[in-house]
Amino acid sequence: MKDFQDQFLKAVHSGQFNPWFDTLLPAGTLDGMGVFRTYHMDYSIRLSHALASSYPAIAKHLQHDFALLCQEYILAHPSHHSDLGQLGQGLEAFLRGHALARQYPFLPDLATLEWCIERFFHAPTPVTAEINLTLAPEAFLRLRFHFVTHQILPSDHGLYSRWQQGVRVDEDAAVASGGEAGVLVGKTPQGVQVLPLNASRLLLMQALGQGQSLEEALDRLLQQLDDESLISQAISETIAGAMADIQAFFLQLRQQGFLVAVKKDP
Amino acid sequence: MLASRAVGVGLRKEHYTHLLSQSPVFDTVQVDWFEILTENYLFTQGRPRRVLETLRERFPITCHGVSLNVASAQPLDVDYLQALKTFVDDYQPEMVSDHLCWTGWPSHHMHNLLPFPYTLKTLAYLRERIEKIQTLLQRPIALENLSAYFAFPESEMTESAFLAELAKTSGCFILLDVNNLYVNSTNFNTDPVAYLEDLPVDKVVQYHLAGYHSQTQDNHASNPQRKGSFLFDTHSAPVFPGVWALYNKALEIIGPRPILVEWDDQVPDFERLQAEALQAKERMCRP
Repeated sequence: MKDFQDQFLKAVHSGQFNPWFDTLLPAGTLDGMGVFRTYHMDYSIRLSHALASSYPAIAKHLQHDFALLCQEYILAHPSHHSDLGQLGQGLEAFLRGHALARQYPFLPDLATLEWCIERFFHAPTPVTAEINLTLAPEAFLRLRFHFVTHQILPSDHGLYSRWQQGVRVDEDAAVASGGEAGVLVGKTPQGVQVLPLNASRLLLMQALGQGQSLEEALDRLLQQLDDESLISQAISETIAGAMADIQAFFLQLRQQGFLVAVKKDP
Repeated sequence: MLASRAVGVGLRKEHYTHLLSQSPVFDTVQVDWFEILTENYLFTQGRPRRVLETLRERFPITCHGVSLNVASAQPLDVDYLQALKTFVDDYQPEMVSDHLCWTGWPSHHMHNLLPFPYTLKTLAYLRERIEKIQTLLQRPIALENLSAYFAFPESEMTESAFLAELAKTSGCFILLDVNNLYVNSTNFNTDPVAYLEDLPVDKVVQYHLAGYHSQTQDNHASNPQRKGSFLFDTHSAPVFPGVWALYNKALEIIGPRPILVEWDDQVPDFERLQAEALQAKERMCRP
């Protein structure tokens, strides 16, 4: 039994016909080659569907090339887990060295984002804690925040827009990509959420994630903006605009449940 | 324990929103239970588990797996079995079932249900493995006959004789997939009624019904015009008349059992799926 299973696995996985199939009793009017092809195609289709389910945006971007990518990936990465959903775990690393990544440089970052979404989909829903909204605004500035399970993905490739283009149904709608510096993915009580990050939002998230208070994070942001705006003729307008954007973003984080707890500055 | 005339459907993610958005939830559900595909719930703590927990408050569930791998030449997957045991203890399904097949090796899962030779040697081998599984799970399991596209010349007995003997000696039960039986008996030109008559009536605990697809396949690389044809078990269509007829025959020979309709590909809306299942119940309740 071991020998036949070994031969079967190798043949169906590699797509290389093994004359051993001619010794079997085939279904219907199939012959050995027909049996082999039936199982090989079923295997390829089943595993490719699993990859398309984990990576819908990449599948849509690549279209026919995605099927070829799947064939190469499956050949290099046999499934090691009884959960077919785990199959795509290595696609990001696979893509980083792949010719398609030279043609479409955003692909590895998009793979990272989609696998992150997949992981968070299967993560437990976070338990929320009331944010203390009764504090005075000046006290609020000195609080430090806990975030739900999340990941910040810096990227130079307009990642959020690429992802939106891949998962959106209305193909003709324009997607703004200007100013993108990364993506925030998190599992909030409302489900998996994906938000675009511009440079200042990215900085804010990184600072808060490092345990800084909002006040400290804003100071850092101001310093950064100041450095970057030296050649600008309207430094104050830039800063005011960025602060308004950060305020709106912070509110969005709270409303969408990214911030699940607050503790006072010691 | 499910009633002998209970009817169920497979819980599919395509129906989550429909089922949960009803007020009250599951308001239009007329089936008696839901079967879950074990692997879709075993490895997640996300939305599928939340849906399952909501459903479990109202309906019995059964767990139907595809990774038990009872006929693999490799050792049993202890990690999988431990996870299954924890899951089963938590959710207390009415039944735990899988397939009479192998699905790969630990280092290489095929994610397909694959046949093996029916010999005295494999019978003893499977009996020992099933006993281990049942001891670990602390409950009997049921095994389903699969659809296969090849058979082994070295088989020493029919599938039905093998399954009957395995059930009698290991203590496992039989989940009879009528569609698979129809597909195999057509593909291999065997007698499905003889198959039904071979099975020990007291060991058959559930029926499955599904749709198949009539398929053609290139037989020869050098001559693509030469096609082979066969029935392919796809779970992508309504139950076909020939399968209904065989189901009626199973009711005559074996009697009423909980019946479930599977639909895994090109999944229709819930009402369409439910109508198919209720048709099975109506046939079972005919005088």
